[in-house]
Amino acid sequence: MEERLQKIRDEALKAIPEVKSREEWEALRIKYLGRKGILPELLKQMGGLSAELRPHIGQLANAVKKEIEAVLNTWQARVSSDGQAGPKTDITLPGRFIPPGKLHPITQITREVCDIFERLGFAMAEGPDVELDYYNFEALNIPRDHPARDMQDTFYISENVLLRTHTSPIQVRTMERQRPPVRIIAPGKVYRCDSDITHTPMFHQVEGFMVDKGVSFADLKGILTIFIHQIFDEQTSLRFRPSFFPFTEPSAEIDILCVICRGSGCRVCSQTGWLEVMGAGMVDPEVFRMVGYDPEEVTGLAFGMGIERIAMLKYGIDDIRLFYENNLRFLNQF
Amino acid sequence: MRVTLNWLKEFVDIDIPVEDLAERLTMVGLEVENLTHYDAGLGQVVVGHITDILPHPHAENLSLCRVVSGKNTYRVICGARNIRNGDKVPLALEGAVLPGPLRISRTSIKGEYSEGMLCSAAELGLGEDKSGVYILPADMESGLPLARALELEDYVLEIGLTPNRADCLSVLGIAREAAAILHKKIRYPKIKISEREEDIHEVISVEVRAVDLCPRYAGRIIKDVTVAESPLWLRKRLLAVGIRPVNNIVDVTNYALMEYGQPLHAFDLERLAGKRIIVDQARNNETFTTLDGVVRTLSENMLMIADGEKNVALAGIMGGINSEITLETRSVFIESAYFDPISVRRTSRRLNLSTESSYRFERGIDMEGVGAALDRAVSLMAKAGGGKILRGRIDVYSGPERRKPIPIRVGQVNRLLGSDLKKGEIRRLLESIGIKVREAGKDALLATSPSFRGDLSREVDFIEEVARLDGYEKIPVKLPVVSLTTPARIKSQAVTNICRSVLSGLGFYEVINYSFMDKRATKLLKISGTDERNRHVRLLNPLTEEQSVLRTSLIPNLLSTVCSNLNKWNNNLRLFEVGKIFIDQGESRQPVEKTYLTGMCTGLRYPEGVHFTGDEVDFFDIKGGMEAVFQALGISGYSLDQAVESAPYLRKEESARIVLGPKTLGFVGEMDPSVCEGFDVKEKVFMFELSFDDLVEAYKGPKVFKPLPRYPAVMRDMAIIVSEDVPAGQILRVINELGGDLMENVFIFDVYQGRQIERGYKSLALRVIYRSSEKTLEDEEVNAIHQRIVNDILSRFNGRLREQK
Repeated sequence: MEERLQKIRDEALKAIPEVKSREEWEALRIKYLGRKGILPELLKQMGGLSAELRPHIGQLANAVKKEIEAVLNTWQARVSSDGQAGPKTDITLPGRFIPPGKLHPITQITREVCDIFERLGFAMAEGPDVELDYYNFEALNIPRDHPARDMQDTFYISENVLLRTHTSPIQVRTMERQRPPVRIIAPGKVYRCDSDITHTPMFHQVEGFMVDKGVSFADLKGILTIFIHQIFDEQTSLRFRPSFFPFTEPSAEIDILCVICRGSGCRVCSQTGWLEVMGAGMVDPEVFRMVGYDPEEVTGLAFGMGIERIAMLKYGIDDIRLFYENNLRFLNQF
Repeated sequence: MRVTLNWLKEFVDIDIPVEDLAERLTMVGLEVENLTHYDAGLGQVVVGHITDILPHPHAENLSLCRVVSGKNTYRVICGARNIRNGDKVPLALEGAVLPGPLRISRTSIKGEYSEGMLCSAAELGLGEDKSGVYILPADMESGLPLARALELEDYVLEIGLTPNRADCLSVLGIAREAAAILHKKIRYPKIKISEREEDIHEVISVEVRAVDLCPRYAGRIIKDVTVAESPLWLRKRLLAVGIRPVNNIVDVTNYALMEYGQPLHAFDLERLAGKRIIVDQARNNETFTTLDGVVRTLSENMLMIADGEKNVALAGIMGGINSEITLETRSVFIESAYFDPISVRRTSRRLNLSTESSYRFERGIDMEGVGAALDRAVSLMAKAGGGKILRGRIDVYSGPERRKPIPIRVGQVNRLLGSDLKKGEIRRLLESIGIKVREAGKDALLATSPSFRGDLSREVDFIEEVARLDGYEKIPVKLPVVSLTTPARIKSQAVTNICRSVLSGLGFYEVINYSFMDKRATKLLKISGTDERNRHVRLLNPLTEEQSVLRTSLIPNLLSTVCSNLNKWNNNLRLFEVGKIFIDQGESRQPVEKTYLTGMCTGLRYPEGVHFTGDEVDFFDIKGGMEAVFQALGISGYSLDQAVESAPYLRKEESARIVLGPKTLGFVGEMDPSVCEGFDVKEKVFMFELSFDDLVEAYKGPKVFKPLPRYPAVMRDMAIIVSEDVPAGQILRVINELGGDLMENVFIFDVYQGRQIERGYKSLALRVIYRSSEKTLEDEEVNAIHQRIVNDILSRFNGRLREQK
């Protein structure tokens, strides 16, 4: 057996360098390695060998097979590059693939935002787009006939039913269901009757909040600093500026140093050097009372942001309406 | 709210640059949105010095002046007669825009060029005199901007106020904040009133019938006024903050409004019948003509000011035309009152009439400030319009309410803020904005808010004041220490992510459309009247007719997306959307929200290029996309049927319903071309729509490992000829049933209809793969099973074997 293998090897190695064309080369390949070739046939007979011999011969047969393959491969290159046989491949032609589609930039940024907070232990929550006045306003300390209602232009379905103007109703719905501690991140579509270069009647927000014993404004600053550094970059400066939301107290707006002019003042930041990116604050005790939490026992932080706004700043998009035109040339860029 | 720097400086010493002031105000919550230099509309107008006057060579009544301004010398043609060599004059240079508006540029007059214009007071908007050039004092420095020389220059700060800060809707309110920031004391205006003998109470009487809507009503009278244009300082200041000057009386009420935040109204006293004022609610369907000339229909909950006979003002919103100040007015009754915020807001909304006055009443004014603003106004009125102030003032008021002191716990301040403030610091910060603070034990204070801060009524309100005045930047940055919890995952989120990655991998682009649609859209989809997709949720206040209802299907907006892309030469489209639809549940109820996953494709199957054929997509491309989703979600066992009455927008011949158990998962097929036409799409479009909620339910979450095969597989092919009406899927299903444990897989690898097969029949080539998990299968074993399957199929489907050649 061993001798036969040796003989096959010698013959093959002698014959291969003699080939002149691709056809001859192919014939040799089939002769030695093809399905019914010499080597495979030989291997089939291995069953008849004794148990001591089998591993040794098996190893040898494999080595011979590998060697013949290697030499064949070397000579294959030679027969094809001679130009006599086989077409030459133009490696500069494009590769063959079906280009994958893209996810909408809003989806991408929403995921990025939610991922950051999920890593901080926040759980995802959702809520209905069509809300009751109670959840959108009253339970958030925005009573009827209060000027704070003017802050948001609302689409109404009926006197008590409306399209949510922010994702904050999810705060109330979650707290009604769940006792503290809670840590929630809630993305969703929101609606306001407004339409121009900086407003679309529908847009996306992400709302986050956390209620526990001893949560403080300092914690709010910490969490949002981490967030801004992750969603933009570590170098992004940010500031907390006093503001007003009926459902938080104290309330803040978060500005980042203008990504366009880096603070020196430009059209995008209306010469202020700062860009408003988020609203935030400590949950107002009135909201806790509405959901039956004891404001003496727990405190909470809450924040919200517009996804379009973040996407526009990150990608340098100057017209919010592009997000909803769904032009393939736009979608293709993200 | 707009204020000017000079106005603020009247009340507080500001010793920092205006840019810094703007920044500091912003950082205590009064966001300065705009800081602009105010030059009284006199940009490019400078002080000039005439050094030479020559006659114009071609025009007798014009002269040719040499005017020096600073280091420059200009040649100016002038028609005025009152100028003399050496005069200081206002020179408008190229680029100046004078009121009118008149744009100044270099011109040529009768062959001679002129580089500017010498202006009259009227041309500059500084007075009425247009008889000649406005000659300036001889000691004025040549070259200075005229606005600076006349001390009209100022800075305007435009402040975006949040609804809680009604107290800052006034110059004094902002001055108070500035004083607190700069550690200065505020100086309130000194008001001097020289009153006459005649007592106001002998001239007029006031009766408040609706006390709850008007807890305070005050007034004064000034007689023998001369109604005229206001003095320059008054007009310019109003213009700087964006108020159009009218006459001295009206302007003064606006000036005091801006200064104190107290809306005032001036009535012509002679036109008040019976010399009475009655504050009461309107009667239903009365009409009333407001100052803007609009006739308004009233209802009974609106608060009105009436005289002895008729209504004279919409309380807190706007006066009536029947008692307005005219050039003939000699005596004025000035009203200063507190009207109920909710009542004013409701009336203002009802009548769709919002004014500087209603804006402030809605937000709540300072009840204690009513008198001071009134006195300030009459004193200014006497200054600006002459006249005599009657003795005393009307003041219908039960007196101030005692405000309750609120306990402030030092521990609570620091607990909420995460700060480490001492009691003394807290006290100092609160006192800096006029809050009265008393000690209340070791770690507590008692705070009483001033009357102008109606928004401070709880401990937390005061804590916010402490935080913002100390500066948010001083609060440390910490991370919370919390107990670990395992956040729950939403199953639907996992499913959306899978669908999104599968479809985008297949070349589908995700789109996001509005949740609105045109209410005619379902009709265009041929959806019949009783279908739930015709139960539209209507918006009461839509922006446009095309966005007047909430969508009940993702298809219309997707088709519009296809259309708009085709119009922009994006011809090869694969799109999908995951989004909600809304089904109305009747008046005053929330609609049912369902989520759908809908995909569409049109155009070429493959990218154009060297490697691909130019075939267009067909039914199997869209079906493949859908099947990929099912496969990724581990959903199997669904079937397709062609009963598609509920999808009338699909072409009957090439569409199917997808059924899983008792549920319809969705539809797949070619869009009916006539439906596409309704959306201006002329191309063939294929789509699938799947109930996403049902996909989530059917999603097989956890995966179970099956051992890998250890024995070889055996393949057997069969080529059969059956009637073309026999669905291949049925044959596959039967083989799957018959195959038993040893059959691993079966698929169709060729379908043929044509020359070699008689009409009405088709040839199907199938490959069946057999494998045992226990041993290597023997040929005889496999042949037996395979033969059984073939025979069974042939007899069930009335087929025959295709002869091998």
